[in-house]
Amino acid sequence: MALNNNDQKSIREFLLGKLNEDEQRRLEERLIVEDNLFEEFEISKGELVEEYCANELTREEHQWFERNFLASPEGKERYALAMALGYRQRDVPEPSRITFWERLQNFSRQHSWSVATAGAAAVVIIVAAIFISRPQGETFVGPTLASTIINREQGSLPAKVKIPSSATEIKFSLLLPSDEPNASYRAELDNQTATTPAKVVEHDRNSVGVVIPVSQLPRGQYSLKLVAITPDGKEREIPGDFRFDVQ
Amino acid sequence: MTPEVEPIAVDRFCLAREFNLESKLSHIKKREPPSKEAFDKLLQWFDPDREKAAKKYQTIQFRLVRIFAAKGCSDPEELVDESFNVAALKIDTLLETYVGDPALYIHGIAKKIFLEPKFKPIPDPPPTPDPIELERRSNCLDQCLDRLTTPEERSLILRYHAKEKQERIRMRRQLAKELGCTLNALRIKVFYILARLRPCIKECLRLLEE
Repeated sequence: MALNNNDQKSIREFLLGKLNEDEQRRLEERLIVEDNLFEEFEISKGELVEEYCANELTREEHQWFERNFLASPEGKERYALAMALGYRQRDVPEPSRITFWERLQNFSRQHSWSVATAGAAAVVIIVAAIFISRPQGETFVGPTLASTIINREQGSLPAKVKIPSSATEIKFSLLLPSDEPNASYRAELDNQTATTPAKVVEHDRNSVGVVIPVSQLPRGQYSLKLVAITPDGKEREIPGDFRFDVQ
Repeated sequence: MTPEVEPIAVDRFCLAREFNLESKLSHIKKREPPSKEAFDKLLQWFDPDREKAAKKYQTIQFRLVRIFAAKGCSDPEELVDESFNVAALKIDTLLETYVGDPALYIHGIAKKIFLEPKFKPIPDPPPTPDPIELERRSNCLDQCLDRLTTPEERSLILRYHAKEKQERIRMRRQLAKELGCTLNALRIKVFYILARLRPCIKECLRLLEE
């Protein structure tokens, strides 16, 4: 089930002891069975610890949080991390705020020939893009999936996916459990009876984008398997798989 | 005491009997681990497929621990283990009569056990660390960042947590813009990196204490 602003608010209120018994019970029961909500719960805890450390909570909130979550072993662990991060911030450089135009000017000053060549190339690319981007099916951006290796720690269930009727393909972003320097990737879709290749459309150090035609995804449970291909051609299976449930 | 299991279809008579019998509950406080047979049946109750059942067990356990930690439980792991033990003791009856998600039943038990004094929140907030302690934690953070993150992730984590209040919000918006993602995607990304770092920092601090 997708989250809404009320869910975020409820989680925050739960963590600050502001829900009544009945609201608490209902939220706790949802937390046990809803992956997205549980993920939000985990994120909210971290954010509240930050706000606690920065003295941004009201007096009552501060006290409640301190006497409940922060008194637990997990709370203490998170507090230790937040304090370390706060302390470490002393020497984080302020990112320079260069505007887009400043960047463009700097670039053109340094590479005047390149700019002229790029201008000509841009015309060709625009024409090609117009040609290629004739109306096609809609790509639905699905959830970001974490590997079962990560989820084993987080205790998550397969992500639930509802595909809109207008979609012809769905794009998943698969979070990599660890960085594979200079690797490319291939992916396989397992529908519990057979395995088919899935199209990898992009990747960076943190995630791999995979697109699957909707025609391959009737209702049911699926998992994606990723294989990293190193520059010397060796293949290494990424541990765990990326599970989702088409509703 | 009334069990709070409204949203699921459940054998209320069975539950009421279990939860209303204080003497029974105090007997259970002995917390004998279930027999292998009872534990196998408990897994079977979660799912006939043993692998899926084990996964479900882990998920329920992990989430309940996190939920009861948020409520200030002094020992959420033990609370949840005991909840599973209680369910295992009643497993034959449950298999015959219970209808509904086992996770919610275990949650109901955990809520009851949480009422016991030994699990009550202990108002023991973390003390404000002194500069030496902060330096120690910061060193551990650096070590773990070096070991577990790429330079980009390291920079992301440090910049994400820089500044306070409005400045922090501005910084995060800028980060999200640079990465070409939404603020929420950025939160999730940071959450997963921190989830990798936390156990490392905990271990590092433990080793320093030894």
